[in-house]
Amino acid sequence: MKIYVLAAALAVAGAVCPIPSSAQIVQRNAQYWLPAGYNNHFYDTHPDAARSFYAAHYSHFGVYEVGLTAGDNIDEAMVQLESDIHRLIRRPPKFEPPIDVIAPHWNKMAYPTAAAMDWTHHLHEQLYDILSDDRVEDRQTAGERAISHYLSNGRAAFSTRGYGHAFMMAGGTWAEAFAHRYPGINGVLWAYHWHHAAVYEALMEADVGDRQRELARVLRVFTDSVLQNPPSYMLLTAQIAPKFGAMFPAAAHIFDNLHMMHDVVNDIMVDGRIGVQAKGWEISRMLEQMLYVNQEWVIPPPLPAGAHENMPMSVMTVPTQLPDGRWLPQGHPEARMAEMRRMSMGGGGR
Amino acid sequence: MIKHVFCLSVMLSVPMSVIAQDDFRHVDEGRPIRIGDAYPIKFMEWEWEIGTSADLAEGGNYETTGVIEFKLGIARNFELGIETHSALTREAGESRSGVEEFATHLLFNLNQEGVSMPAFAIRGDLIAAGVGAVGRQDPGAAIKGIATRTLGGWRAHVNAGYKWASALDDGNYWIGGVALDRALGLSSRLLLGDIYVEIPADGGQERVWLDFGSRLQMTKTLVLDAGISARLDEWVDGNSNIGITVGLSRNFGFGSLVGVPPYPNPRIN
Repeated sequence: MKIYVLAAALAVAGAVCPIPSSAQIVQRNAQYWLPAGYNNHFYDTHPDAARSFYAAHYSHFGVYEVGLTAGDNIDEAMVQLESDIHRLIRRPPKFEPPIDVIAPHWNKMAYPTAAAMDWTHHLHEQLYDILSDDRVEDRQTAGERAISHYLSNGRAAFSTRGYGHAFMMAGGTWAEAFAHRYPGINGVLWAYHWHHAAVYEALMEADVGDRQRELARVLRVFTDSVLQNPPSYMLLTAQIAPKFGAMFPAAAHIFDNLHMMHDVVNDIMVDGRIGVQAKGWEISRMLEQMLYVNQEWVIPPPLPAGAHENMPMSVMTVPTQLPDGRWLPQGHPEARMAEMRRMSMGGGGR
Repeated sequence: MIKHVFCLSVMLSVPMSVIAQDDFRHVDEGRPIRIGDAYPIKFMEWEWEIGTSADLAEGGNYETTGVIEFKLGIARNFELGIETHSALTREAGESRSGVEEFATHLLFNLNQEGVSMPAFAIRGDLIAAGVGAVGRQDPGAAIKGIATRTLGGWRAHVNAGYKWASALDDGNYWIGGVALDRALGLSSRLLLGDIYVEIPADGGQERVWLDFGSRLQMTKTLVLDAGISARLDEWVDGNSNIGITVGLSRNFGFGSLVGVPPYPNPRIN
């Protein structure tokens, strides 16, 4: 009996645990979020608004999983995914689903990117918590402490520099593949980029009543208008949330870079010219370009000529320092306009 | 006693940290199955677990146990835990109770799962003698290797190791088992089951359990688990020892223990 049990255990272990390749060894390095009294306040006090984001989360990682696993049936699978997304918009899950539940295969292929996205989603939530919790006396200090903690996890933190649309429009031959091929889902995702920023701006209201009203208005506009007529380009946080952008310019750029990385991965995952293994390498390459720890040496690629032709002028404002030392992030309506020459040389604000 | 209750209530009511909707995915030993996964809790994350179980056997015999455990992510990929097991048993008309054992463990996760490589971990346990009639007589120790592998919507976990115990505590034995789990859609609920074997090193009778259970995310930080188990090696003519277990686990953190660097006023242009 003993020998049979051990043999069976070894057989199962062998089937489950193939011989590892050293190139695939990735450390988990999971870090806990900054503990604070405001945590979960936004979810507890505005559950509908908090849960409204979960369909976006599902959309992003659903696209990656379909792009990796659907093969020749990708178009049919994307149609099904779009239907699922709209169902979740109407009836979101109670909690944000883990990435490895939505995209188990993709999570194995691109874990460092998944971890960076997850880490940044938590900063998203903490800033919602801080802005919605009136027990927080100094929102600026609390927010900067949360950002500082976020940046201390170097391999999972996105850059604070304003890269605008550089990598998603000029990062590789795959650029804009997803938006052209699946405009329906892409529209939902870009609508959610508006939604994320608009909720921040609503929470910037100092008065609780004003905040509630503004938040209700944002949710209404999102479902009645923005989702029906999605943006035709990826909005920048400071365009939609100028007060939030002025208070936390670094966070505005972090979220823009997160959103851009989401778009970049969309493009790579649906570009049929790129093999599965090469998709993983390309995603890793792009993540390295957009990490905070690498921002002192990264030079974003120049945008193609006319790349911003269909965008409003506000997109072409670049990070601007005010006389009092504060900064306005890229996309802020009061920031100064970029010279077109500089935009096309790369980096927008460089 | 009052002091202990106060300390426990403080621990249970500290400010909880954000969003941990993946907690229901943690396959923790005993919550509710015997096999664990290869992933530690996060660095600087704390977690408490409480649970109770009842094993019912023929002839009115039973054993009820309670467990309290605290875990801490002491470093990246390292988990430290301390736990205590108490028990109340009734066998051949005699009731006995006490603290079965005090234990501490260290789990080190070697890697995150990759495309063709499972996640691996090593776990070591040190066990102190218990108190009372059901307590362990002598200290013990255990070591085991853990692997976790995702297979589509399923995850498989393999545990294999060795446990040292004195002759008074039934001697040394090999431990091993396999578990499967699956998340139910986006409902933040996990179904899981395992088969777990203990093989005495001196050639005695193997002990085999079959466990099945579920973990449910109740709030952003609280998970409820419940399970049922059967002792297969005592399954004679359809009569088996059946056990049920229920538990709660909650994660939290201490902001004052986190060294947040000063705001770096990072470059944005």
